[in-house]
Amino acid sequence: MPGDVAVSHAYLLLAPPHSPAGVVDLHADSGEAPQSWFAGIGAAGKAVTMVAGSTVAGYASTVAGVTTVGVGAYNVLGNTAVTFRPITVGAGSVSASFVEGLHSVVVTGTSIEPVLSRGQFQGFYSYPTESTPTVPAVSLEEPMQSAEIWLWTKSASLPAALRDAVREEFSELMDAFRESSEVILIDSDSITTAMRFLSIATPKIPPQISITDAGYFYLHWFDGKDALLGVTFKSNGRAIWSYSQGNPAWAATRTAEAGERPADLLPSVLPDLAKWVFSDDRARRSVAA
Amino acid sequence: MIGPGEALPLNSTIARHARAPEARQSPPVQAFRLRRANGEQDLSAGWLEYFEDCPTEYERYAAACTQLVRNLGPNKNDQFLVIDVDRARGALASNSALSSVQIVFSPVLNQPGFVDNPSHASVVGMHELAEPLEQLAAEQLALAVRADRMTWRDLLSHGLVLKK
Repeated sequence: MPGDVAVSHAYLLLAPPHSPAGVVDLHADSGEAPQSWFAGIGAAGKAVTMVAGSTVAGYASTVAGVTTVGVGAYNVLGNTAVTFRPITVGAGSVSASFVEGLHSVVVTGTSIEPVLSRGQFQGFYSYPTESTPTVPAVSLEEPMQSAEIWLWTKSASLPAALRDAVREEFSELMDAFRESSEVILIDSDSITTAMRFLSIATPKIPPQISITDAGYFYLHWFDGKDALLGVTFKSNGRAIWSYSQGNPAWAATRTAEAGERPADLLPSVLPDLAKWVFSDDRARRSVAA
Repeated sequence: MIGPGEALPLNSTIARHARAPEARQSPPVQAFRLRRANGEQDLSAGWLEYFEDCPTEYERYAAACTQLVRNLGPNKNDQFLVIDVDRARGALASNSALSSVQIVFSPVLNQPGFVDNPSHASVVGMHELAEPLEQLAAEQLALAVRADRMTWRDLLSHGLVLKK
């Protein structure tokens, strides 16, 4: 289970359909140590594990004469899957090679997608590895599932109704990501911090969830009119909070403020700002804080 | 017609592209945060009233989106949000530290690597803000998003936009 793995930063990525020249640089995209990445490609037909001595995984399928290829890569430390969007190539034109020592993967094929020029393309580099991990072959769905498993693990201590709402909201967010073509980062530490905050603050209203450009969890609550509370949970345990609402006594005015502080201190601060969001269980929060 | 860099006039409306994951929230805050990893300094948008010859707002919206997508690669479920500029300014005025955030006319003309977009507008002044204030500004802008919005797929299927 991902939750059993000691990992400080587990990023989940969806790479663009192609980068310039069709090359995806795992190191540059991930920000991780280069030696911790693997990549591979499977032959057409199904997900496979290939290359003796290294476990790499690829994904390919042929439907109606069109072959779709995906590549799975793994962060050894975090056991985190990284997957690229499928590249559609002409039937029968897929080949793959893995060069021992260089640990690079080259995929060649004939693109029929407008985003890639017709003719040969190549892509996907990985880096030398120090150990051989044992990871299963995965399909393209796997990174999203890993993220969901991580959230499920970290949300286990929430009250049942809040937990179910958070999981459903996150699942819907993952569905939206599946249709995206841009790189998506999700910082697992941010998830952990956010779930800890929720377990202490116990909001009456479940938050909406989104992911910032830096991969941080952003939770927000909106009253449907003009009051909005937002919190971004960073990987260092700090949180950026912001709150704004109309002034009921002076319709033309609004108040808005924002700040940053350790996330663990927020449960004792935010309920005073946004009473409509949180429960009245202040005793519990003060003990936890 | 106002000149480049000038604030958009009263009763202006802008359209902004939002990726599907950003657009699903209410309000869609992430659609108004700078993509700093991409070096983004201002928020890009299209000014609907630039198309003063278009008789309906629907057509002005479609025209602005047509111009915007020339420098974008939207996915089918991405959305084009409609923002009431006056309302956005009112929300931003709720904290004086956000006074640097302005919504201005910024036509894209003869810029290397970009297709010309004479109706382009920008939200400027966010890049210099500290993180908490940038988040607050994004939220205030998101609160000014109107309910009427369309996906890229809708715009295409209705024949409202002209592809490249």
